[in-house]
Formats: sequence, C-alpha cells, structure tokens
Amino acid sequence: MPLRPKVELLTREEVSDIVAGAYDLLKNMGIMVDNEEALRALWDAGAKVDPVKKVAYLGADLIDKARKNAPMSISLYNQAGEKALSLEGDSVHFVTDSATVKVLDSESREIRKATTDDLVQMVKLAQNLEYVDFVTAPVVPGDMSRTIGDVLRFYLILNHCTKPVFGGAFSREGLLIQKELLAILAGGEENLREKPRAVMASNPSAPLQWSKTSVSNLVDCARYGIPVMIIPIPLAGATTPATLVGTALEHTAECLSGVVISQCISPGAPVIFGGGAVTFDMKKGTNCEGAIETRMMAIATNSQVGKFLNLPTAANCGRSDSKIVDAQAGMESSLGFLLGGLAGINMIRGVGMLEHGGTISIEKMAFDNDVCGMVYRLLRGLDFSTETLAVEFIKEMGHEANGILNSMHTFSWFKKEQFFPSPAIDRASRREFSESGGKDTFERSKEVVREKLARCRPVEISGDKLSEMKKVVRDYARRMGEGAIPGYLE
Amino acid sequence: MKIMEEIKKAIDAIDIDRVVSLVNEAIGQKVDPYIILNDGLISGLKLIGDRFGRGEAFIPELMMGANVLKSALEVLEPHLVSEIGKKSYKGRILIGTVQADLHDLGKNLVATLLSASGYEVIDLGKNVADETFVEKVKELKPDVLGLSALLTTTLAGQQRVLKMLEKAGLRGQVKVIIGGAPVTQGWANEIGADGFAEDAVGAVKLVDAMMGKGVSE
Repeated sequence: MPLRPKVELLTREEVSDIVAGAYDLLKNMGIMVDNEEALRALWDAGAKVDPVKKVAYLGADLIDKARKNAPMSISLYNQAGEKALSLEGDSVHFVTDSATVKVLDSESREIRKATTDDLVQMVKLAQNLEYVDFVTAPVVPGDMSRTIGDVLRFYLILNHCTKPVFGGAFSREGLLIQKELLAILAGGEENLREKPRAVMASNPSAPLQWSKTSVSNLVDCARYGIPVMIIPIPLAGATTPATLVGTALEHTAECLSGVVISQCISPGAPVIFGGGAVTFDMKKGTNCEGAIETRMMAIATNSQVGKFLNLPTAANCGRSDSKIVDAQAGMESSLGFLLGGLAGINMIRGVGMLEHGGTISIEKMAFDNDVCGMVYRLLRGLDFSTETLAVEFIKEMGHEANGILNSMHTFSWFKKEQFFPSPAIDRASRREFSESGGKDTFERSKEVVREKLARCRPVEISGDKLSEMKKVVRDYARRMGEGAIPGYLE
Repeated sequence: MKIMEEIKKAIDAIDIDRVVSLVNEAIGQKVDPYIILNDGLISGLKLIGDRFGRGEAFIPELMMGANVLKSALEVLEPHLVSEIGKKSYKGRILIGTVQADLHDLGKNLVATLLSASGYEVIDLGKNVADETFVEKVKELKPDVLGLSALLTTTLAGQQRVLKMLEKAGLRGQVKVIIGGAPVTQGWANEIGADGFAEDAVGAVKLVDAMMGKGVSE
C-alpha cells in the first residue's frame, strides 16, 4: 500500500485538552435548546435542565455514553439501493455546495438571482461530475416558494440525480416530507432506515444554542435513522474566540451537544461531526471561507477532534471568497480540497462556491471537479514496485531512449500514473490555445459544462413511484396554502 | 468490405495479433494489397488520429497504433509490387533531427501524427548528417522534408541543409518545413524554409495545407 500523506496540526494530548474544555462548557455553561421535546429527552437521560432559561447542562457521563452509542461509520446508498460510499476512517468524498440565492451568470458573468432552471442544470451537472459523490440543492431559487422550497428542491434533486444527497429542511414538516420522498424511492421506511440515501443538515448557533427548527430536524433525523451533519458556524473573533483553538473548542462543544441530543432520542442514530468555523475579517467584517486559518481549523477541529471522537467527519473547507472564477477562487478552493483531503475529512463541501458561501457558479463546479480528481490522485500516492522503478526498462532503452514514448512500458503505465483533467485545465500548446480563441478558465469550464450536460442521461424513476412522489408534494403544497402548483408536479 | 472494417477496428483497438492475422486473411482472399493498406491499415490508424484530434486518445496510443501499422506492413510489403505509397498515402514525408542534435521527442510526435493523418513518413532519426538529408531527398523524392532542432546551437543545421539542397539542385522538388523549441517564423523566413509549426498538430495542418489536402481533423 502506498504511503497515504496526512496532515495534522495538533498533538493527541492537545486534541484531548480541547475535548476536555468542551466537556467543561457543556457541563457548566450548558446549551440553550429552544425545543421542549429535546429538553425532555435530555432531562430523561439525566441532564440538569433549567426549563425557564431553556438551558440543559450535560454531564461527562451523559456525553461519554452518547459518544459510545454514536456509530463511527455511516454508509450511504444510491437511488438503486446500492452502496455508494462509507463515511469512515480517512475516506474522502466531495460535496457540491448548497443553498445560495445568487448565481454567477454563465453569459454575462454577473451576479443574478438563482432560478429553478439553475437548480436543475446544476444537479444534472453534479450527477455527471466524476469526483463529486454527494449532490445538494446548490441554490435556493428566487422563482420558487419560500415556504415549501426545501421540499421542491429536494424533489427536483431526486428527479435528476441518483447519487447520495446532502440536504436540509426549512421546517419540521419539510423534513418529514423529504423523508417520505426518500422512503417512496427506497420502497418503504424500513428500507430507507437500512439503506440511507441522504444526509441532512442541522445547524447549532454560536454560542451553544439550538434554534427550534435546527433541533427539531436533529430530533426527527435521529428518530427516523436519517444521518445528520451537525454544522456549527463559529466566526472566530466575532461569535467565538479569535484564538483558533478556542474556536475549535467551542465548535467541539456545539457538535458534541448535537451528538448527545441525537443519541438521547435514539441511541445509535447516525451523526456526522461537521461545521464550518471561519475567521472574521477584521477589516471588511466578512466571514472568510477561503482563509488559511479557516483551513487550519478544519484540520484541527473537523478532522482531528472528529476522528478523536470516533465520528464520521465533514467540513465546509472548499469554499472561496472570490466574486468571480479567478486565480483567488482557484487558489482558495484548491487549498481547501487539498488540505481537507490530506486531513482525511469524509465529506468536503465547497464545490462551485464563491463569495463567502453566497454565490454558486456552475462553471466553478466543473473546474472544482478537476481539482477534486487531482486530490484523489495525490491521496492514491506513489505506486512503488520493481516494475514501476523500471531499472531494466531504463537499461533496455539505453542512452538513445528514443523508444520510450512508443514502448509497451509507457503504454501500459501512463494511464495508471497520470490523472487526466478535463479541458477546463489548460495544458495545450500556445498554438492550440491561441487558435481555439485564447479562452480563460471560466470560458473553458463553460465548455466542459455544456459538453457534460449535453451527454447526460435522464434519471429513471418508475411511473408509480414518480406519481406517488408528485402526489405527496402536491398535497403538501396545498396543505401549506400554496396557490400555484409548479408544472413539474402535474 | 467487411474485413477492412475489422482491420480498422483492430488497429483502433491496438490489437497487433488480430491486425496481422486479418491482413494475412485478406491477402489469402486475394484482396488488392493497396486496398488493405489504404482502406484497412491507414484508415485504422486515422481512427486513432481522429480520436487524438478530439482529445479522446493519448500520444502513447497513437504511437502504439503506428507500431501496429508498421508490423502489419512487414506482412504486406512483399505483396506490394509497385513503389509503396504512391497510390495510398496522402504524400511522402522525410523527417529527421539535424546533425549534432540528440533530441527527437518532438520530431517523433510530428512523425507519428503525420502517419496517423495518412502520410507515408520516413524517419531518418536524430543526429542526421547534412549530407544524408540531401542524399535521401534525391533517392526517395519526398514531397516534404522536415528538419527538427531543439538547441539554439544546432539550429544552423537547418540552414546548412537548405543551402546544400539548393546547391544540389534539389530545392525546387521538395518543400522544407522546420520545427523545434527555438524555431520561429522569423528564422524560417530568414533561412528560406517553406514553413514552420509550433507543435505537432500544427505541423500536420501545415503539411495538409502545403499538399492541398485540406485540414486533417
């Protein structure tokens, strides 16, 4: 086995100190939970609860027990019910990024509101990106109902992709309907529980707070066995300490509190240590998704603490703050994918993301896919053997060496050794570059998008299941008082 | 002809054993050897060349395809009664790296791509003496002579060969193209070469244009 390169920033003792500090916060400061059911479950499990302040204090025993019950590996399945991947150990999977209201327009290269068509095109593209394993709803379309948009987005994802899905819900009802859609495709609730297709998001808020919707999603996911990613978003220097390890500590406490809640509801419920701690820019007042410190916190917290706690891991570490698909975008996302990959983070988000997590570009999705492929190549390491060392081959070729390019050795090894990126990455000669119009990264990526979309095949869902799904969404839309039912549900 | 389709497919799949056995089979069936060469072997290699042009095939595949064609030619050659190539190839190219220059990667690429585009390529190798180029032009009467040089110190070789061709009265019967990292259009103009290309694909386009064959894709 080739040596797998790995990056770490903390010693095991330091990680252990961070976890101990998180235990201290959870026991003595407690977590604020705006949800009676969750507070009751915590009380039943032995936590001290202040019902007026809505604060639960979590003792070490309770946290230890939750850690013991939470699974260290989660397998996800595709539409056909085949195992697609496992979130465990140092496995690395890239995820399209999610839920922006803006997109970078392919023609004008300017910012505009996202539409339903953007969503569909992006999901179709994601289905055809070789190095992206999870598909999300990249955008919140402006032409879509805000009340039931989560469900509509989810319905469209399921219609245009077969890969595992990473999603989120606006409300408790929204989550339950999404679960129902998954169950229809899986052939029943039990099948879905056994072979989950989707990971859902649940966001605590700094410092140590759980909003009504976030915690109800966490509770329902635990109840139905839906894997849930806990995503604290600390802003180092603004909502959490400016010190990176201080933010790591609070991030850890927030994740652990989610683990405790989920395990109190249902021991063994699948839960992922996620999150996107970022630095707060002290000049511009913005969240720096692409900062090097943001990457450092992903390595220290999401990877090292997450693995110390024996949990599957995730991080938002592939994002960029750039407004356009330029050198900064390439640099920030590439560093993020690379460092996240080297840290063995199981789910790495950021594919397509720009502008502090506020704008998606379909061209960047295609470009990032190549970067993800390069990261996989690096993680595969060097193939080391007598044949790859090639002493005999080199001697055979002698000083002439003119047979190397057309030798059997080259022919049989080059594809195993080299990663071949799409034409989004320019490796042409100057002549070819000039003759094909001297296109920049954005333009080349646009062509890759066009070509991939032209080749993509429609996702097949049996007529019965599809009409059942449509009916579920239509009924939900009517129940929620939606006037107009989108055409694709008819 | 069905067997020609199979030869093409086997070359495209770089299946040397199958190509050789199919060529033998075709000879046994008394198929015109020039048809085997043209509609089978050359057309088959062109399939790889076309895929290469679309960015779907790789250089080693193209080179291996050319190797397969060479092996098949050994079988076919005794049956080709008249001078090889006159009927089948788009043209005859003589190519080599100039004297004192040991670099031939670029020249090999150009040679392979030209064969994959349907040209008969006679490769003189590297460190080719000036006189050898002249003698071979006289003997083989190529349509195009390609002179490669990678070093600024060996560039002068291209100029020397051109002058010698002139002296020998052969300059009028052959187009001379030059290539290599330090070569520019300015240098081509200065020494009176007929053309220059920056890379192998460019060289094929250049030759196609010279031969009036349209552009190979």
